[in-house]
Amino acid sequence: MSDDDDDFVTYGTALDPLDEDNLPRKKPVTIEDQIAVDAQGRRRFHGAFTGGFSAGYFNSVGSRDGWRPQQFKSTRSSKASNVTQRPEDFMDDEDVGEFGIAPTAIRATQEYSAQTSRGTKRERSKASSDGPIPGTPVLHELLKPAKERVGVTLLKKMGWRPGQGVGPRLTKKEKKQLKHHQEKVKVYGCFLPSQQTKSSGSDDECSDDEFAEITFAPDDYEPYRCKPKDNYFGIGYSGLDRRPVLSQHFNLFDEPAFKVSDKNKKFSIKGQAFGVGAFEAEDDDIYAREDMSLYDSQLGPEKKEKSRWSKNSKDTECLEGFVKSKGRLEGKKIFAAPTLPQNFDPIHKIRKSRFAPLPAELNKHVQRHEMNAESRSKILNDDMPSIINSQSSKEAKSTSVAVKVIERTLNLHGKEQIAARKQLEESQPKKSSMSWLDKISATTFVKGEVMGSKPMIQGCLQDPKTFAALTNDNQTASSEKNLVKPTFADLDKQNRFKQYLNYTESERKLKFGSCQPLSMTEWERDQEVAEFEKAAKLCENIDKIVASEKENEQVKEPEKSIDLNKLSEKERMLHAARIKMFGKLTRMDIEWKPVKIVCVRFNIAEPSVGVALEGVQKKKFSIFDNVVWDEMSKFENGKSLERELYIQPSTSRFLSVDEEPQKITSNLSMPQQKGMTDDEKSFKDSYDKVFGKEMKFDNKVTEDEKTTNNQDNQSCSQEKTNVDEKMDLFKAIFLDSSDEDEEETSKSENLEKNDEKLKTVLLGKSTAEINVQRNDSPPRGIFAEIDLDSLLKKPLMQNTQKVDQSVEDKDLNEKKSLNESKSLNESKSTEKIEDSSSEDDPMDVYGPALPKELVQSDATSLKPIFTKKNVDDKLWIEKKDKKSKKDKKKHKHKERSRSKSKKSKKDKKHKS
Amino acid sequence: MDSEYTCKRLYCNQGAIRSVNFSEDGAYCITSGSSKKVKLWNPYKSTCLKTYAGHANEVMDAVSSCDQSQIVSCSMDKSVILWDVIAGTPVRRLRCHTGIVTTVRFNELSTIIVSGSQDNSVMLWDARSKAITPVQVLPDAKDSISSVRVSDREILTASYDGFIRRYDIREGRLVTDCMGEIVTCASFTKDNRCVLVSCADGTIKLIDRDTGELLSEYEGLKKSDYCIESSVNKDDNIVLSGSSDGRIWMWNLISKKVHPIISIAVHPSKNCFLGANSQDILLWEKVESE
Repeated sequence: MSDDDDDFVTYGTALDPLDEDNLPRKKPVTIEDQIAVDAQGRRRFHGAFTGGFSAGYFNSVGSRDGWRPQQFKSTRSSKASNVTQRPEDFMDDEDVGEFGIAPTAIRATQEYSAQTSRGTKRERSKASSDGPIPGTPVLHELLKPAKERVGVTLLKKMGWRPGQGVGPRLTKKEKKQLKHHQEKVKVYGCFLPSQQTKSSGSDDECSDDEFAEITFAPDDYEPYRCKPKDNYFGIGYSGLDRRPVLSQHFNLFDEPAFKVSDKNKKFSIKGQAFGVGAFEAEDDDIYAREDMSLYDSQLGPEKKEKSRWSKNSKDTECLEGFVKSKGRLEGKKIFAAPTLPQNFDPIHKIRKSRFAPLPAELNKHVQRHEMNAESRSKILNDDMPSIINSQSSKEAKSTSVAVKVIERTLNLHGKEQIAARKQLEESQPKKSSMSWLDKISATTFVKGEVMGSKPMIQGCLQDPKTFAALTNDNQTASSEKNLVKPTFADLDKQNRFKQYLNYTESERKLKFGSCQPLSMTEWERDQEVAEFEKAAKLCENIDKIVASEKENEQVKEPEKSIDLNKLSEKERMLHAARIKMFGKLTRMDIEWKPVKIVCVRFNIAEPSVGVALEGVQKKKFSIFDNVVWDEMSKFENGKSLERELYIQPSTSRFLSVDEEPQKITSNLSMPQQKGMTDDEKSFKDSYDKVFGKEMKFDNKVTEDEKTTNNQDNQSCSQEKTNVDEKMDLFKAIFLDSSDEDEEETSKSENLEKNDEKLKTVLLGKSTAEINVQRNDSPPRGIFAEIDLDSLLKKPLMQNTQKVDQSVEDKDLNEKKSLNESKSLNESKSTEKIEDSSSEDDPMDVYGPALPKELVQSDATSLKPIFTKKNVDDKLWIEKKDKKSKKDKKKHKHKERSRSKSKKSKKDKKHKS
Repeated sequence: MDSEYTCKRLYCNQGAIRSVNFSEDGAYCITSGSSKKVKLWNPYKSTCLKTYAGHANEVMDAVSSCDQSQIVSCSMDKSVILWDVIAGTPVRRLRCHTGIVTTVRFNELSTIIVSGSQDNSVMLWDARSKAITPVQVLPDAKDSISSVRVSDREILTASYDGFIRRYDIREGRLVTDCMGEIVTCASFTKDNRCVLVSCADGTIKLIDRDTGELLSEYEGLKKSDYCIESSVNKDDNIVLSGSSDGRIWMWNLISKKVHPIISIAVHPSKNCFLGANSQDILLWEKVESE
């Protein structure tokens, strides 16, 4: 139908036909590409990295580079004003505009605006479809529901509900009164008073009728304030005030809390009124401020506040914020325990089957009940004198030994010495009963003498019987049975084992328990008993073998038990191997560390890596190491002193005197040169160098003198002086200081005495003979190497030499005094003369010179050469080769002093 | 279960043979003789493969390494020599022992040489390094070492002092067992659970490795002064021991019975004879070589 085209009527202009090729594709803009733009078409929001919220140069704030800090500029002409920045300074103009974030235009807030809907959500158009006209009904838009007034909303917020009254509660009476009151009120305006009343009266009535259904106003609602918990304390606990105490302000002039007015006079009590009574405990709350208001000042029952709120809080004894529950919790019902049948046994016995008879009763649980008083007392440590005493004595023993030795070595001049010596003299005849204790005390030296033997030291053995028993046990065990005792590391254990062996088979179980210390547990006891049992059996076996072997040898050596003990390990193993008891008896398991490379080569992880190697710690040497207590008594009969002095405890074998007297003497008399090891020799040599050889042997002195003469004079003489110094030191330590005093006061008497002494000494009587008190036992420990006797004897010889010297010295000194004033060279020459003249090289004797007076007296005295009194005024002779100008000055000075001293000496001589 | 032992006899021309050892795989054997030489044999073919000369005195013991590339020998000249098998030259001479080296062994990986000597010490040498000093010395023995055996983690030494010592490398412990008699040889059983100990009094003891208890004792040997070795067979059911009377003794490991040879048959033409052990037949055949 071509006509159809004409029939059409076109309205408007037709769109250009779409070019299908260039059809622009409609791409929906993605969310991330959508940009909020402001009025100027600028981007409104920037990302956090591009300047944030509507900021930057391209908006109205800041510069191209961003926020520019405010510049402070102040000149004389234009003073900088104090500019306070406002938030608007940082906001764009648009923010302040109508749609900005802070619009400045005045408008009603949302609440007061007509909009009902508070939320941002648009109201849903509803029920539009049911009507004939689509869309929201026009009337709905026109007529808007009246909004609540502000007052109502406020009331509602305060807890008021529509239908409730408002205002305080009034009784009808009150209402009437109120009305009356209102009537009286003047009324302004054109109301007629009558009208007014009428109206009011009618109003009243009607109001009563009207509001009949209206309830009373609700109680004032006191909003419960939730305290947020901002601490970590327990609920209800308020910690101490964190503020320091002193920071609080104390009002010293506070009004007294308690005022009593009496006859126009006002008494006021302030502060803590009564303090704390004797029976009260203070410090309940030390930071509380005591106040009189806390005290009752009136008799009578306490007033109760009549408040609903207060009542509530007072009644409940709950923590703050808790409410006492009204309903009671149902308590758990506790049923009484069933009564046990009379023959009930608390130990379960397992039967093999239901019909099997009960197994034999186990005795274990009965043990507890069968304990008798004795065994219980054992555990309770009650009335066990024997055990306790023996233990305590053991302890005393161990402590007293060390303590005594220390005391003795330290308190050489003390009163204890005298007392000890007295004791000594008293107990001298009891020498036979010497114990190891005396041997320790023997290492002390008093007055150059060795302390004699001493029997038991008092107090160390409170219970001698037990000790005796102990020692007896040892002896009997070793002598009678001649048992080979396996050694236990613990000494107490060893003792216990000895005792165990002493008991007969039957006795063991009964008695041995009492020997074990109470500190041991039952289990330990049992273990020990089992151990001992085993060991005892083994001992017996070995003993048989040993005995059979011994029969052949027929050598009786009680001390051999020690050696056997050492051997016993191997012997035991051999024995076990012989009787084919392979296993534990023949096995030793020792730690062994393979070298790392071996482990690597064996492809085995190194055992005990990181574990510190058990270094073989060298035992600290102590005096007690060499002291074998039992053997100590063997030395008591040592004869000659000289011989004994050379015995070293370390080298000497402990042999019994009774059995091998020959051996012992040979052993004792054996000079050190023979038995000395290399170390000892080297030590000896060095020692000789230091202390001088001639110290050792008095009878060799003459020989030594020769040798010394032969030797280089200087070195030799130096040694001698050294010796002298040492001797002085020793004398200062070991000699009685009273000697010096004596010397001063009664010299003449002394001279005679000394004469005698000298004679005895020169005649060759040993000091040992003179000193009965002398301890014959060899020195040991640190004293082992020191020849103390030679120290004592040496001065004699020295003195005799010095006597000769002194005569010469006298002359020399006089010469010197003359020469010294002259020149150094000359003085040297004089000393050279000295050298030639003196045998003993006084050239090298430096230090204070010998005073003449003393020299004379020394000719006959045994006393040390240097005494106190002369120290001050001595002539100072310097060593020859060390002379210097300084020395010269000294000499001059000394000369002067010498002249004085000479005078004083002469005076003294006269006096004496 | 009948089995047959054939006996071949090899003349070694080596003087008195001090020890013979199989190589690791058992294909060869190494003899060490008093002629100061070590010889490598194929015992099956009775051929001498190589002679290693270099010791200054009688060779006491020689063993091969696990890869059979090296032989270690010890001698009365107090030295231990590590040989290259193919070249036949000594690779290393180790002389730190102060006495006759009586026995030598490689460890399982042939990285360590363990040598025991009459100087009462056992020395461990690193076969890999060129150090001429031992890596470790085990000086525990109180008398000369008679035998040394090395397992994968243990070194077992026997000494004339009557002790066998087991050095456990993994545990780091030394376990000493007293045998009460001179021990001439101590060796592990194949299962490594027991130790077989030959004592000079003619007894052979089977000792439990872990407890040291005596499991069984094999008697019958005469007391002798020889340092006689003993071992168990590969199945751990027969205890073998040499003896001073020229016989190999075999005990049933469990019943401890010596297998008596009752019947003997001599080969009519060859130098060969048969012996009937309890359940086995032993064929001894003399094979002359060289």
